[in-house]
Amino acid sequence: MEKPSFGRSFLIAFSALVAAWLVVPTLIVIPISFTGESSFAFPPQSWSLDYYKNFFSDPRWLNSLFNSLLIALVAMTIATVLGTMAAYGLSIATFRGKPAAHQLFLGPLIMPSIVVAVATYLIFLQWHLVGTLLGFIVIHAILGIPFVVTNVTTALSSFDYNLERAAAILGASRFKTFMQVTLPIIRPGIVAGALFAFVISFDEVVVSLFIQSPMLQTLPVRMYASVAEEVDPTISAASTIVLAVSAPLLLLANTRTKRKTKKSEVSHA
Amino acid sequence: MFDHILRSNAARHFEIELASHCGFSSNNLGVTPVSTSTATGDDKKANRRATEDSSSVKRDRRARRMRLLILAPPLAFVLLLFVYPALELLWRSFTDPESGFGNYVRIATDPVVSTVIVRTVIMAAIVTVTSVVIAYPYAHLMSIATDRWRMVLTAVVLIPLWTSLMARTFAWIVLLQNDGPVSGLFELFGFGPVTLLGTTPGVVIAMAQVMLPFVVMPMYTNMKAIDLRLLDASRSLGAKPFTVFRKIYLPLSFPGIASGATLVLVLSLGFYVTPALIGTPQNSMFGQYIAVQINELVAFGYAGALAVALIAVTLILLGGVRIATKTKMSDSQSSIGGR
Amino acid sequence: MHSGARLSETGAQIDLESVTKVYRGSTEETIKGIDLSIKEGEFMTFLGGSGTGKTTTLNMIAGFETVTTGEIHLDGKDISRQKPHERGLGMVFQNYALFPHMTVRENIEFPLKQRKVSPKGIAQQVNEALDMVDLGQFGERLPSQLSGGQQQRVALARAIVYSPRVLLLDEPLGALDRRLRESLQVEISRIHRELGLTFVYVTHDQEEALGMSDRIAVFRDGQIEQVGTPTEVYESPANSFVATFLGDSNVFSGSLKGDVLDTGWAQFKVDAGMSSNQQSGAMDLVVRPEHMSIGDPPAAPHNSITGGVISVMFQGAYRRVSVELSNGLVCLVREPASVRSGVSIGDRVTVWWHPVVGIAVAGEKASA
Repeated sequence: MEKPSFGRSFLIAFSALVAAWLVVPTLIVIPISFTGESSFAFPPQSWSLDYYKNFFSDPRWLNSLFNSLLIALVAMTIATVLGTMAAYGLSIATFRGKPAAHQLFLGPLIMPSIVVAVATYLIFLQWHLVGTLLGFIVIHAILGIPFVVTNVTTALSSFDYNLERAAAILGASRFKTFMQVTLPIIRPGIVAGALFAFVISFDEVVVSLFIQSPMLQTLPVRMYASVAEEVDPTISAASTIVLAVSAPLLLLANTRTKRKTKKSEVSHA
Repeated sequence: MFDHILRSNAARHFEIELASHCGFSSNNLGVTPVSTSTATGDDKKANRRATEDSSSVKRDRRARRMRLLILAPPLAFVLLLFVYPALELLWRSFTDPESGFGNYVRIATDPVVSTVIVRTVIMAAIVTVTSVVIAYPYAHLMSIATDRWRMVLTAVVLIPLWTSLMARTFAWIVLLQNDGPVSGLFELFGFGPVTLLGTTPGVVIAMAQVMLPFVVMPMYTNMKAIDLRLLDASRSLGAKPFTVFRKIYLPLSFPGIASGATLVLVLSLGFYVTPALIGTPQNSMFGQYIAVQINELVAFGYAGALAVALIAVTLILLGGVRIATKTKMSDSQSSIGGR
Repeated sequence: MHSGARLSETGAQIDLESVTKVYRGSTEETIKGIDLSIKEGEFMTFLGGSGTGKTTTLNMIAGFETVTTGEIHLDGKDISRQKPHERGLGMVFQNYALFPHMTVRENIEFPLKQRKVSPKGIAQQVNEALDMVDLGQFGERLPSQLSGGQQQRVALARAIVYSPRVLLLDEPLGALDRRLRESLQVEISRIHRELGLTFVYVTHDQEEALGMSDRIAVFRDGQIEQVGTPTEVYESPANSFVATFLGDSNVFSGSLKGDVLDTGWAQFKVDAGMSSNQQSGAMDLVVRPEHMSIGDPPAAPHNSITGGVISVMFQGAYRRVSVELSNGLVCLVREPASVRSGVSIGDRVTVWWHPVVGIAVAGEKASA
C-alpha cells in the first residue's frame, strides 16, 4: 500500500520501539547474570560467573532445578498420554456432551490460574499432597493437558479417517490401526503438545506457590521467593538457565507444527 | 504459517475460545482443514456421517463403549483433580466459616472488595487500551511487510510467550527499578526521574508486553484479509488519507481489535504474578487479594466466593464487550468479502 | 498364508438379504430393504446419484456400517456382524487412502504384514502387485510424490496384493480427470478379467457403469430400481427413472389404450411387444434421442411430432438438436453428423421415430 513516506517511516520507527520493548526484557537477564557486581545496575560495569557459581553450589537452587526437571518430565508424560487419549476419544466420539467434554479438557487453561491454585491447595491440604512430588506432578499434568489436547486435536483435524477404514479393511485391528496408522501421522501434534506440556510445567509458578513447602520447591517458586522475600541476585543466573531450557523447546514445538503443515501443503499442492 | 506459531501457543486456546465469540472462527486463524478428497458432496457427507455415526444396535454399542473407554482415564483425571477441587471450593464458599451467603454478602458490602474489583477492572482496561494502541500500528506493519520481515515481526511479538514468566518478571524489575534503564530513558526525553516499580504505569508496561501477542495476532489475521484495493478505490473517489483510514480501514479492522481486546481484558483480570511482584500490596489486583485470603487468613470460603466473583466479573465484561461489538462486527464483517 | 501363490483366486458370492439401514437418531430408513445377489467373479456396479444409498450399501458390505436389519452373506456365511478387518475384503477408496507416512512398498506390504506372511512371500507378492499396476519402479516413493492416477494404482495394488476374493471400489476414479479416468477404466477392467475377483463398484458416472460392468444395480432413494446387464438397463429400463438416469431420454407420459399411447396432446403408436406387457393405464414412453430423426417421416407406423428448433449443438460425431414442441416440451434428437439435415435455430421441423424403438414403461409419478 502506498503511504506517504513520513507515515511509513513513523510506522517503522514505532514498530522498532515496540520490538525493542518486546525483546529487551527477555534478553537483558543474560548480561545481568554475568555481572560482577552485587547490584542489578544496568549495564553491568564488570563481568563474572559468580551468580552461576552461587546457583550451582547452593543446594536450594540446585534442588529446585532438579525438582523442576523431574516434575516437568513426569507431568509431561502423563499429560501427553491422557491428552492424546482425550483428543482422539473426542474426535471419534458421538455423544451429545462432546463439546462440553472438550471445554472441560481446556478448563485448566481457561480458568484464571489463581482460582486453580486456591482450589488445588484446598484439596491438596485434605489429601496431604501439599509439598509432595506427586502433588506437583498431577497438577502440572492437569495444566499441561489442554495444550496436548489442542495440539493433537489440530493434528487430527487434518487426519483423514478413511485411512483408518483402509487399515481396517486391509486386516488391521482397531488397536493396530491406531498404533501403525493414526499415531505416526499425528505424531508431530503429539510431540508439539508434549513440548508445551513440559515447558508449562517447567515455568509454572502460581499454583506451585501454593502447594510448595520449604522442603520441596520448583525453580520458578525459588525465583519468586528470591524476588519477593529475600533479594538473592542468583535469580539472574536462574532466569538465564530457565530461558536456556524452555526457549529452545518452545521453538522446537513451533517448528514441528510448522513443518508438519508445510508438508501437508506440499502433498496437497 | 504465522498462524501456526500462534496456534500452537498458549494464546491459541484463548484465541479460539474467545475468538469464536468475536467472530473469529478458528478458520480465520488459519486452521485449514486439509482434505485430499474431492468426493461428491453427498458421499462426503455420507462418509462423515458414517464415521461419526456408525450405528445399529449391537456392534454400535460395543464401539461406543470402546470410545468411552478411551475417554474415561483422561476424563476421570480431570474430573478428580480439576473439577472436583473447583466444586469443593465453590461448596466452601457457601459453608465456610458458616453456611449461607455470608461470604457473598461480605463481598457485596465490603468496600475493600469493591475497591479491588474496580481497580482490577480499570487496570485491565488500561492494559487493554495500551495493548491495542501499541499493537495496531505493529499489526498493520506486519500485514503489509514482505514475507521475510513479517516472519521477523511475528517471531518478535511471540517472544513474551516463549520466555519464562519469572525470568521476564525479574527482567522488568531490573528495568523498572529506580534509576534503572527505563527511568533513564524517560529522563533522556526530559521527564525527570520517574518511579515505576510499585506503580500502576510500571505494572501496565510489564503486563502489556505479555499481552501483546494476544492482540497483535488476531489484528494481523484480520488486517491481512482486508482488500487494500478498497482503500485505493476510496482514494480514487477523492477521499483524504485520514478519511480513508477512519471510514474504511478502521471499520474493516474492527473485528481484529475486538477479538484481541477481549482476550487481553479477560486475561488481565486474572493476572497474578506480574502485579504481585511489580506492583505493591497497596494497589493489589483481584488475584493478589484472593491469595492474601489464603496465605494470611486461610479463609477458603471467602476466597472461593472471591473466585466466583472474579469469574462473574469476567463473564459480565465478556458479555458486555460482545453486546457492544455485535452490531458493529456484523456490519464490518459482511464488508470483508465474507471473512 | 500363501506365499508364492499367484495373485488370483476365484471371487466370492455376496448376498444381501433384506438389508436395511436406519442411522442412529433418525427415524427414516436410509436403505429401505435391499435384496441382491452378486455372483462369483462378477463386476457389479452400484449406480446412483447423490444420497441414493449406494455408498452406504458398500460400506455395509465392507463393515464400516452396521446393518440395521437383514443379513449380508459372503459365500453363504453371514458376515454382517463381523468387524471390517475380519471380513477379508479388498477396498479402493475415492481419495486413495494411502498411508502418507509409508512408501508405496510399505503401503502394499501393510495387509500382508497384518496376515503374518513370511518376508520372502511379502517381497514376491508386493513385486507382483506392483508389476500388475505397472509401477515396478515406484516402490520407494512416498504417495505424495506420485500423481493422482499413480496413487490410485498403488491403492489398487494394495487392495489386491493379499488376494481378497472381493474388491470393493468406492468411486475410485472420481478424483481424476477425464483422460486418466478412461485409462484407469481399462486397467480396472483388465485386473478384473485377469484376477477373476468379484468387483463391487460404486459410481455416479453412467458411462463408467455401462462400459465396465457385468451388471448394474441402479440405486434410487435407498432402494434398487433395477438390476441388469448394461444392455438391459439401457435398452429395457424398468421405468422412466432408470431410462432418464442412463443416457438422455425423451419421455412421453400418457395412458395406454391398446397399442396407442394417448398423451393428451398427441397419440403415439407403441410397439405391440411393448404394449402387451403393459396393461392399459398410466404409462411412459421412452425414446432415446439417437433413435429419433428429423425430416419428412416415412409412412405409418412411424410416429411424428413437429416443433421449432431452439438449439443445435455440434458434438463431433453427433449433432444434438433440441426441438420445442407447441406444448412447451423439449424433445432431444441426436443425429449423426454425417446426416446433412441442415437444420438451424428457428426452423420448423418434424421429428419422427419407428414405434419399435420406443420403450414403454410403467407410469412414474415423480419422473422427470
